Parts: sequence; C-alpha cells; structure tokens
Amino acid sequence: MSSKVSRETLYECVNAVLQFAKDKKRNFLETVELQIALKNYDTQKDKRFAGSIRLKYVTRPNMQVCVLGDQQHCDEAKVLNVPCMDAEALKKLNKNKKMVKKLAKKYDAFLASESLIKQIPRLLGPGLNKAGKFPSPLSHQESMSQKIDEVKATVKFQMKKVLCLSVAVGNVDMAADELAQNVHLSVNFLVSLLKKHWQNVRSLHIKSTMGPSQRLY
Amino acid sequence: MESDIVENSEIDKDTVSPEDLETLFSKKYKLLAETAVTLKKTYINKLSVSKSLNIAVQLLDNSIEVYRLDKSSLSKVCRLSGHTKTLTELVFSNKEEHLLYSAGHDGVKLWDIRTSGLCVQEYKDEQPSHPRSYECMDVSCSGRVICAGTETVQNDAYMVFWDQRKPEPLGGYWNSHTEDITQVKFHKDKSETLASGSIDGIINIYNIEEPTEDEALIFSLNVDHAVEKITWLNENQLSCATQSNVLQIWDSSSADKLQHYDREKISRSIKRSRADDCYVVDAFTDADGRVVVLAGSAGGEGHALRSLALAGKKLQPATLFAENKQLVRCCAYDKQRDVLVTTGESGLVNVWGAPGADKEALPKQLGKSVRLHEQRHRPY
Repeated sequence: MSSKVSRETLYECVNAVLQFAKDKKRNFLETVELQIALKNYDTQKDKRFAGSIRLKYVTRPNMQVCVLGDQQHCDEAKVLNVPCMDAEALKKLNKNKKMVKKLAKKYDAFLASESLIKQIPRLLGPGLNKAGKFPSPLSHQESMSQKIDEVKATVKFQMKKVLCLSVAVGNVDMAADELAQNVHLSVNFLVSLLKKHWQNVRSLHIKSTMGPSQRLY
Repeated sequence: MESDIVENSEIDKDTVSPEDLETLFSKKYKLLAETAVTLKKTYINKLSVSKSLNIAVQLLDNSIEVYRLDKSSLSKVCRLSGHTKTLTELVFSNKEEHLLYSAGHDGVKLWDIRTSGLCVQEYKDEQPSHPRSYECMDVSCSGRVICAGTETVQNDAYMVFWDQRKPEPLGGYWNSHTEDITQVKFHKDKSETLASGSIDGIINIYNIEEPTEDEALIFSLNVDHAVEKITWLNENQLSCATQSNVLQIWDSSSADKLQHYDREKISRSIKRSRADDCYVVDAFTDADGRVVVLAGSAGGEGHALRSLALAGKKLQPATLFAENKQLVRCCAYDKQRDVLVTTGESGLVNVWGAPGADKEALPKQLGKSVRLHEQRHRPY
C-alpha cells in the first residue's frame, strides 16, 4: 500500500479551499469540486463511464426533495415537514405538460413509494424524465429522513470526451473533516472505476466555485 | 482525522486453487476458434452475430469486418468501409441474415454482406445535412423497424425510428432521457416493445405502436447507475449491466427490480480478490434456460473471464474460459448452438462452445471460403 495523497496534503488543500471562501464570502453557497485529470486513457476506445457517488456528508443542504407517496409515506412526510404529493394530487395535474414541468422545476429531486413509482409515466408522462428528475424508489423498510439525506449526499459525475472528471464533493460551509472524508471517498471510488486505477490518474485538484485550485496529487 | 489516500497495490488473483476452480466452474466450454483482426494491437468494442454465425466486428478505423465460422476456423467474408466517424453499434437483421446495420456518429447504414459487401442504404435524419451522433441502435424482431439513440445535443437525447425499407425517418422520441442514450433494445418476440437505457440511469420501456411518445412510455426503471448494456432475457425480464459494473435484473411487465448484484459480489463469485478489477460484460439466457452473466477481471494478466449462473440472490460459478487472453468488451450468445462469441481489447475474436460442439453445431462450409490472410493464433 503506498500513499498517494498524505493526510497532511489532504487537509492542507481542504483548509486552503475553505479559508479562501471564508476570506472572500460570496452571496451564494459555493460548491467544492474534485477534478481528476486522466492519463493513459483513450476516450475513443476505452470504456467511458458516468454515474453517481453516495458521499458520507450532505453536499447540498438546501436541496428540495419532494415525496410522491402512498398514504403511509405522505403521513410520514407531513410529520417530517417534507413536501409530498399523493396519487390523487398527481392525477389532478391531468398529465398537463406545463404543470408537470412546473412541478419538476420546483424540486431538486423526488422520492416515490414503490407502488406509485410504476404509475409515474401513466400519471405524469415523461415530464420528470425530461427534467432529469425521475424519482428514486422509497420503500417502507427504510427511514424517509435517512433516504432524503442520502439523496442530498449523492453526486453525479460524467466523463465524456475530455480526459477530465469533475465531481461536486461538498460546499464551503462544511467542516474540514467532513469535506476531507467526502474527498477521500470520491477519489477512492473514481479510481476503482478506472481500468489501471492510479496509473490512469494524472492529477487531482480541489477547488471552490470561485476559488483557485489546490493540487492534491 | 482522515487518513492518507492510499493505493491498493495488491495484485488481483484467484481466491481458490486451480483445482477448486476446475471443480466449481463445471459447465465446460472450450475455445473453438480464434482470430486476430489485425497485426497491430486494437480493440474490438462492437460485435454482432447472425443466426448463421456470421460474425461482424468493428475496427478502430471505423470499418467493419465480417467473419464466417467454418468448423474450427474463422475466415473473412468481407470488409465494409464507409463510416468516417466513430462506429458505435452493429446489428445483423433477424430476418435477412445477409443484412447488417451499423450506427455511428455519422449516421445509420445498411450493408449487404454478400458479394464484396456493399452499403445498400443510408438512413437519413430530418435534417440530412446534420446527421446525428448515434450511440446505439437495434432492429425489431420483425426486421422492419430500426431505432437508434443519440448523444445529448443541447439537453436533448433522441431516439430516431425508421422503416428499414426507406431512408426517411418515421419519427422520434426526445422527452424520455436527459443524457446520452447508450442502449436501445427491441424485445425478442414483440416488435412493438422497446427498451432504452441511458447515462441518466433510467431504462424506459415503450410500446412503439402508440401514436405519441407520451403514450408509448410504459415504464421508467430507475437503475440509479449509468446504463452500459441491456439484454432481454426472456418474455418479461431484462438484464442491465451498468457502467459501474453492477448487474440488475428487472421485470418489464411489473417494473419490479428483481435482483441487484454489486461489483463486490460478482468479483467474489468469480473467485477473484480485487473487486475494483472486476468488470461485467453482459447477461444472457443459455441453452439450459439459465440466466448467465459473463464477467472478468482487468487485474493480474487481465485474462480472467468467467460466467456465473443466477440463482435468486446467489451467483453460482458456471464456466471458466481458461483460454481467454484479453479484456472482453462484448459477447454474443447463440442459444441454439450453445456457442458464445467474445471480442475485446486485444483485437481477438473468440468462439467458445461445449466440447464436441465443433462436430455437430457449427454451420457446414458452404462452397469455397475465401481466406484473405493466414490464421494467426499469436498476433503480436
């Protein structure tokens, strides 16, 4: 086992990013991004990949999640003060494209009871698909608040034609420890998807939206 | 406090002895034929096999080569050149086995592999001056309808449909996916049923006989991972291999996720030590009626290729492809003959079958086959 990014470097970079954001406060919550530059990789012939990572700490605390629920889930949602809609409320939209679009815009993500999720295309048409917000399933075996936190801690990544992967790993209001853990998790996960693992990594940087990059590797 | 980010430098290896491997992986296949497509190192990322076992492969220069299997050798039937941009999919027609479709970033073409292999049709987009970048395609089981899926262009990802007899498109869908469409797969028996998969992590099931996209969309299945391969396993089940090397099995009539096998489980089941070297090729229903997943490891020599039979939550060892010498990217299984074709990153086309298959199952030589180059078993 060889060390690729020492604990010292990791914290130095994380602290530098957080400090810069504190010194120059913006009027929005800056995201912290991990950037991986790849090498020994040919996007034409090597497998391209994209997906999502479930991080340990919530990256978008202000994310608005709506539950499309059966009776039980809607009751639970009301207790938790989580916006919800039941099958009746969805039927009322009458598959009206504008209204579905409006619903999709109002929330960042949706969770749906397993029974309801199957009816979404019938009830709403492809509107949620079109917005990239098709719901994640919600079962009765899991805690709703935990599931919502999971959604808020899940980030997407994509590698298209350029040899660079970029992932949101947190925000500038997070504690250094939390950000460091999210970075650590993301790096390990992304490296696990690369065929030659660390031999495919040219460099690693983290940066806040408005701040300079800090080189991790 | 967080720890160092370390590199795992363990070499991936088998977790059981060679003797145990032999015993566990009891369904035996042997290498019936192998050929290298060129002398230089190349990847074969796309493959299609016709009912008569013609094998079409994509080359990195965007040409296509078609091979025929004669007893235990592969002879080249023709080379098809015409795509000037990346070739992304090859599909033989189910109905007319001499017809091969290809999709690429410069459109969809139809080839006749008889004689010297001609391009007999180019399928147009609504705006012929701007052909779309197609990432995938399929042909319906009736042989009549073609569907191709595109990359996203300004937030829209399209599925375009043609009647195979005419170059103008019939129409398209563009509301059901938000990222590149990586797979479109028609149901094997119902020509109106179509599944599409995308990097957005959704598989959509459509009834394309409905007049509009809204009405055609029956189910959206949230795979939650970028979709790499979709295969229809039987009447109501499809498999999905994701870009994160997860395998899921879904029921297309009830929209239930039947199984989810993560990378760690697949790696353990193929008896390899490093889950992060494990890759999933595809799943299919074999001649014994079992659902089988083909998986391998990029670690060590990168040659480990094994299959597992799905048994509920369990994955049982099925076949050890001991003679495999490459990282496999695609496979095509012929259920009738119990023959599997694999291709991959060393440019090798491998044909596998049950021992004794070479005598009975393979197509007899039809007339003189043209050998355009010597058979090489050691390409470099």
